[in-house]
Amino acid sequence: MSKETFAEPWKDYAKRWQKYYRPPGRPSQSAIAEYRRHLRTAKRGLKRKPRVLIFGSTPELRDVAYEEKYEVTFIDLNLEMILAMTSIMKHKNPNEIVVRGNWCDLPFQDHYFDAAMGDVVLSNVPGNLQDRFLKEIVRVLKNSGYFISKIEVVPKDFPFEDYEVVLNKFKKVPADFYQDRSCMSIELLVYLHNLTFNYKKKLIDLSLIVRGLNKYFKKDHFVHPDKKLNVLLNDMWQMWQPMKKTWSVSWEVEVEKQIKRYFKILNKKVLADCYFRCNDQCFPIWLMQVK
Amino acid sequence: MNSNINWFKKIADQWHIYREPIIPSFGEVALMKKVMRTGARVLVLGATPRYRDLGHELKCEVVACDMNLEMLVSTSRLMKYSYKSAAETWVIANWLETPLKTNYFDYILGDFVISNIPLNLRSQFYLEIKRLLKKDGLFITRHIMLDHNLKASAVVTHYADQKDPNICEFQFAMQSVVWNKKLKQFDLRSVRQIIKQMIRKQALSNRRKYKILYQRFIADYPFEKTWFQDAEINEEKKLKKYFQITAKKHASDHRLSYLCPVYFLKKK
Repeated sequence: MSKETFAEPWKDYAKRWQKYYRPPGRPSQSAIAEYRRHLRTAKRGLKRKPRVLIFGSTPELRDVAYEEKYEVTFIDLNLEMILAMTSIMKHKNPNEIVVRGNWCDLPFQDHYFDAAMGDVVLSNVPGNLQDRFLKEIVRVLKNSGYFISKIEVVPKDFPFEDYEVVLNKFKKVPADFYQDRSCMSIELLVYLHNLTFNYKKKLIDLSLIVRGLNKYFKKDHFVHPDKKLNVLLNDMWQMWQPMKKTWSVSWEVEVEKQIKRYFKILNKKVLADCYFRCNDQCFPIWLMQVK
Repeated sequence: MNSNINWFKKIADQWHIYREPIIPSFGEVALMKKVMRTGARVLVLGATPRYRDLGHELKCEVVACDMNLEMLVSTSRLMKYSYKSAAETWVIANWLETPLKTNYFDYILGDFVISNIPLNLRSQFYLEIKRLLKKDGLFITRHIMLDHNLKASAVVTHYADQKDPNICEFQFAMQSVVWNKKLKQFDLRSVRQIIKQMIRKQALSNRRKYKILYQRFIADYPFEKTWFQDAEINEEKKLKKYFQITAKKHASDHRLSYLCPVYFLKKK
């Protein structure tokens, strides 16, 4: 798998991020609180200004690290994401160090950062590069530095149902449950994208959703007889078009095994951001410390 | 250094109008190319398109470190190998304290970078360069020299007399004129006053060409920026404390190349 389906699509998503992108894809208030708590743990006992490296441009993470008085460095491969995300930051941090670069070949000195963090970053790295990515994090972190991240997993009891069954579940969700409908459309995406999980390839592939919902897809939009689902499917399409995005994900137990090769897992918390608990369970926040 | 950030943003917008000696000449770039090997790791301090092109021409890994992103974005369009700018690593950070790898770079290229650093911060800057350079690495930079024989009235008249004066050259020549020996710095804002005074001294019939020079100068240089510069002997003395000057070369493809030597510095 190449960078074309992992990193490149974000160039285009950058334009629509603010309008359509919602938790669990981006940090919710409860996720921010969890990140904040872990950042406080990571700086405990330090007498100088703590340093954090953030993977990706996620504005919420950069804002919370700034509020916690960290020296913030972030690295993103896509200039489009850097520019779009910087424009929607709560705080303008004049001392923020911006790096456009490769996560798997970090340009930073060894043992420089006290903490590293990212929101759903590991699955955006192709499977064959994930160990290299984790090794690089260990290299740039202090000897007992922390890695704080929401890591996408596939829980062993995730209900792999038929597309129609899932759509029916979403039809029944009370309309007033969500603050805005984008939350519901991203939740639909999360649910559906798990149905495309290929264990052998350790891959989730959005293009398979379009194939699975083929009968409702007409060239560049969805047509579903149910009005509510029609809106949700088209909102999902608006955000993720042309649905050529992949994530490298595995069963939770396998991800844990992979992480444990490099880090001690100090904490893992499933938040309550979604209507469907099985969606929340796919995105726990992990606090890890270099072994 | 932060007070100069607006200067960088403005300069990013109008980089395309700059000519030698404000930007490095092809002759100066060729001097650098002669000592550089292919496939090396190059750190460009700033966004200078010709230095980044040089890195790509030599198939090097190019990292560019600048104080602001706009500068890198807008100058990328002016590169010969602009399509390769996407492969560069960009770092928006203070040159005095970067998070970059230690002993990593074969070459660090700079264009008048030293004069951007206040004198009291020079040691910190040189130590950071030394940290980033490999043992046998080279810090290659153009550095501003001053010509104390230049007189304000002569320089202004010389360029006012030209039909199509090179304003970049004019700015560069005026640096020597407006240098403040006591403060060890120069600020080109005072050039406006100098030209205005010259206009007043002229007979009415002679004023037009000075007015044109004034208009062109303020259009090309609407900035408020201070440059920090000591006398040549002191500048070199300080450099020698941290580096061995392996060569100091001048190109010959522009008139003021004698004021912008290229230093080749090896860490001590």
